Amino acid sequence: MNRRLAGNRLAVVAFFVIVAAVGAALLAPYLPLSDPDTVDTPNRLKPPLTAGHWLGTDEFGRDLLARLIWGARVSLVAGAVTAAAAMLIGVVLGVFGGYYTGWTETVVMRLTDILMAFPYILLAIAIVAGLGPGLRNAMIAITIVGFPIYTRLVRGIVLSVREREFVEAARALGSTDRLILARHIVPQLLSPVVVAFSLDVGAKILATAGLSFLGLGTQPPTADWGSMLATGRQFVILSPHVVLLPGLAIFVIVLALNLVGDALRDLLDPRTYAR
Amino acid sequence: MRLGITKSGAVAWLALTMIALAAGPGAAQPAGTLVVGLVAEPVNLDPPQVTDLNSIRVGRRIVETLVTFPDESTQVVPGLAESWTISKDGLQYTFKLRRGITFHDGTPLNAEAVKFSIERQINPNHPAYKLGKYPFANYFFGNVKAVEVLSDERVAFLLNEPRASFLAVLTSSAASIVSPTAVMKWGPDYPSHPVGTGPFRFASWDRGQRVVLEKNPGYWKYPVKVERVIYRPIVEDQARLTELLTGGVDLIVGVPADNVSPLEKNPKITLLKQVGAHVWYLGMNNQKKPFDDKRVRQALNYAVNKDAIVNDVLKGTGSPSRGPVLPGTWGADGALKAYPYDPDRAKKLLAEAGYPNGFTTTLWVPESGSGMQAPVAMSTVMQSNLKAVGVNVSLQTMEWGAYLAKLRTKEQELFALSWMAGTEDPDMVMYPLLHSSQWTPVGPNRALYKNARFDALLTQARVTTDQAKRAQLYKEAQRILIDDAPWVFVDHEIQIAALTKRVQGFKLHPSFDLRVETISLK
Amino acid sequence: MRGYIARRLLLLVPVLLGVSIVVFMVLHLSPGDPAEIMLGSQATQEDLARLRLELGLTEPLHVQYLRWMGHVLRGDLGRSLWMKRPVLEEVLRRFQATLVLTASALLLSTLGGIALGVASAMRPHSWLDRVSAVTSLFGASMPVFWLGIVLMVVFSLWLGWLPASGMWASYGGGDLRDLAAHLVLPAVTLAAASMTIIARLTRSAMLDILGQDYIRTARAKGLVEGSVVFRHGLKNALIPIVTVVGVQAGYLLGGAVLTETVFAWPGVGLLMVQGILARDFPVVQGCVLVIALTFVLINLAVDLLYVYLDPRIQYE
Repeated sequence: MNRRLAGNRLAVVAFFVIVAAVGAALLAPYLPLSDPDTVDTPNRLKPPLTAGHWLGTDEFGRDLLARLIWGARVSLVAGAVTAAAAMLIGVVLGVFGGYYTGWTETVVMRLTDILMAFPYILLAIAIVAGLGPGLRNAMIAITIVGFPIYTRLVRGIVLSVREREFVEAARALGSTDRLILARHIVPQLLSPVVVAFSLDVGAKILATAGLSFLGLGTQPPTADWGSMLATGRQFVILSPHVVLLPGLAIFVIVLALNLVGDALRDLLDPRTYAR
Repeated sequence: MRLGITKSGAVAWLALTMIALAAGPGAAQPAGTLVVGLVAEPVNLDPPQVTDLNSIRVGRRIVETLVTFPDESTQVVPGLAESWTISKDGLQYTFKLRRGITFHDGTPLNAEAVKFSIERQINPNHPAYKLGKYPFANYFFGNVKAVEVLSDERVAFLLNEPRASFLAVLTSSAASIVSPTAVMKWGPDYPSHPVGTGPFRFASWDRGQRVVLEKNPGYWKYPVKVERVIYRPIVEDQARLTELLTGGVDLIVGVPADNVSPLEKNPKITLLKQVGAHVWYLGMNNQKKPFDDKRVRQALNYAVNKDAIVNDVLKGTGSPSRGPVLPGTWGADGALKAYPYDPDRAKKLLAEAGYPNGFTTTLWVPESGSGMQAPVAMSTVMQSNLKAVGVNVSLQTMEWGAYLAKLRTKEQELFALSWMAGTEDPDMVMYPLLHSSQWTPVGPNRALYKNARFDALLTQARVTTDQAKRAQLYKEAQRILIDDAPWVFVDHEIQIAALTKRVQGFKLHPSFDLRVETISLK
Repeated sequence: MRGYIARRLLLLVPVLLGVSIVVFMVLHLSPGDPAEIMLGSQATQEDLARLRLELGLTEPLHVQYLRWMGHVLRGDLGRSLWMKRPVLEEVLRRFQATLVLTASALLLSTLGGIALGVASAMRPHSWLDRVSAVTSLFGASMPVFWLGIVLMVVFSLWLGWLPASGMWASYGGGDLRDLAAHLVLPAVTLAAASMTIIARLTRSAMLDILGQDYIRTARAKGLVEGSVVFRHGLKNALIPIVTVVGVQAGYLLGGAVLTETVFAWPGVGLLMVQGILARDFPVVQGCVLVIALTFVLINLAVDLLYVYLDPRIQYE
């Protein structure tokens, strides 16, 4: 009993951390921050706790605190939206691929195979080269490449659940497919999908960093955690704070999401061992 | 439970452990082996078939050219040819080859080999023509009508038009002399088994891991002191640096700008610097408003803070540029002044031209690319400089391949680009980049610059063989260029090499080549 | 069942065909082509046109595609436009290197992840649970290039325990010890992110299972905790875990690019990216086909594993 309360208290804290992050991101234009885009090269790579720059400056002398907060606007949206889109597409396809047999299953799963087999880098370059660089197109690329994991995950679970006794019973009683799916199958998916999603948001933000590493993400001088990580990697030894700070920001968000996700699971599933 | 260790067992066990530990994380370095950390893997080792710097850096240790550069400059001196004559009309160049030089496979260097090496690139009927692809054959040898063997040691090049830069052309990697026997023996696989007359011969290549060259004991020029050179491709800057600092490699190029200063202070490392035959510029579309107005172009030249870029971004790995020609070479004008950083003057000029509140434009930048130094970083600084005088620039970064394709569309407004000349002959820089016959998409003049007097000067300088006269013409041309300001001239790259103290006798070359044959190891 | 396997193997053909068409289209329709990149900024129109002709790029797309497919069906993946070497040979050799790296990383992350996940599930909300969550999440929040470089600096530069990059020593070496020493840093870097998702998913799946009735029954029957957890619990939890391991395996195979770049590991990911940047069509197409084949086989293996893990699953 005690453990559960402790767990939930942590989750509440995590929830507020997320709210604070989102709030800061939304309120960025009104907060007393320096301009995140002003280049001030004589003051480049200043460490945290320098006068006027609480978190230091990057390789162009831009204030890191400002860039982190403004970057939150871009990264949180990019991470959440792409993860959510990937999740939606992936889960729907996975349910279809797992529950229905015959042609539906074959077409859905083999198309997913094709997409998965296709290297993400190539797809990203193609989309970006074709549609132009920039965050929106990078997000499209990341979503397309990102949904198969949900599809595979969900399908596997649906396959095993669909054969269980209570599903057979429901069918025997005349329930429609839709009802069976909603009432019996989908609840089984909640746990793993929530876990996957809470990790996926961070992974998607890191994916934008990977694209920036290759030069295909947001355009300068836009601040976003992903590109800050990518361009900052040359300073890992010399001025690690340039890379550590956005990395820590991602870590905090991902940790918070995971804790909230855990609590959500505990709440929604009456039989979980965690209770 | 007793462990049952006997005395002899314990000794044996101890001995084994000590042997295992003594092996260490890496074998001790055999004397005479040099390990070089490259920025990328060579693509293949037949210089006329490659266009990237890393392939050329390795490939040119194996083959040589008729004429070459000395170790510190880009003046033309004898190479495999000991002397030459140029006909009065400038249409025939006759070379006398040195005697007694053989290729690594034992076959002799003679006029036939020279003819073979050049003709295989330009003559569709040549037996070796279909064995490879020679991307720059036309660029360099388009003007060559024929190559004639006059005797075993004498070979003549007949040109269609007189071109003073032809000798410079013969120093390029496309003019490498290869063993005809080897080419015909290996066929399309020849680029993986190169044979030449150079200081090193090809030994082995583990793809993705290392290229191994061994010294050519019969090298004609001087005795090579390094037994073996191993080239390791290490793409990631930090990894290459770490390998240097841990002794995994002896020599690296491509030191990131921010690491230069700490390396200079490191007592175990020697740092070398050398300005290269290279220019980095901000191009403007001279045919598009508002850049068709000279005042706007000059304004931009005043607005960009070159010193900030060179000091703060490049950390001294660039030297501010006054024009496209490398200072200190025969074609440069020592009296030319670079545009100083003067944002107020820039604003005034913009107002005069009718843009008192500035204007909006786009700047295309490649993410990377040969000779591009730190394109995005440099462009970001320029963006900020221009904003300060009212010009709002939105940056568009592109992947290199996509970027080159886009520059052919003539839709560019501002673009960042660079040029590696390979030689100090101004014709090889100014003509392709700024002559109006070379407008993109036909040629590399992407700024769409046109000036009749400038064109005339360049055309004349091409055909004159008197270097002093050419220098005069180029000086006048540069003065027009500075005034017309078709580009913002930003900098010339300063190459940086970092070596361990073991490496002696190495000098960087302005052509960006890595001449490791001069090295001796302590 | 045998019919199912046969059908899946037959379906390999349309899937690989699909992949081949997609990669071909993507490469040829992207702006920039090998001629453009070879000639770089010095290119003239004339040279470009000539080179394009020589490289066979001027023919209509479907002709180029059919010609390539014709070669593929005969086992010939063509020659690299830049390296002038046969693609198949090149890709297979580099694939070996990637396989070694990926298998090591997968082993590390699977064993580590499952162990961590099971331990966390047995004591949810304990300090063990929290600490393992925090550390594994930390590993997953740092991009590969950061983690890799940091590990390299610490273990190679500062401590001097391990070589900084490459797969083998420059000279000497060549034995298992040499390989192992070079493998440690990149494998750990790669494993860090994979391990997290496996651990968290294991934990979540185990919590679900352990809360079920039949587990309570087994406990009530007096079975040893270990038997309860492992025999009855883990096996059923393995379905999502095996799925994720399969997906990770696939991604790692084709996507170990960042790690291979940082550590100069001569694998197929690095080859592919360099091929993409240089528009070396035969190389990229060849790499993608080999990776695709492997991926599809892994997915098939995972699907067959489902049946072993949960006999109720049937394929029709």
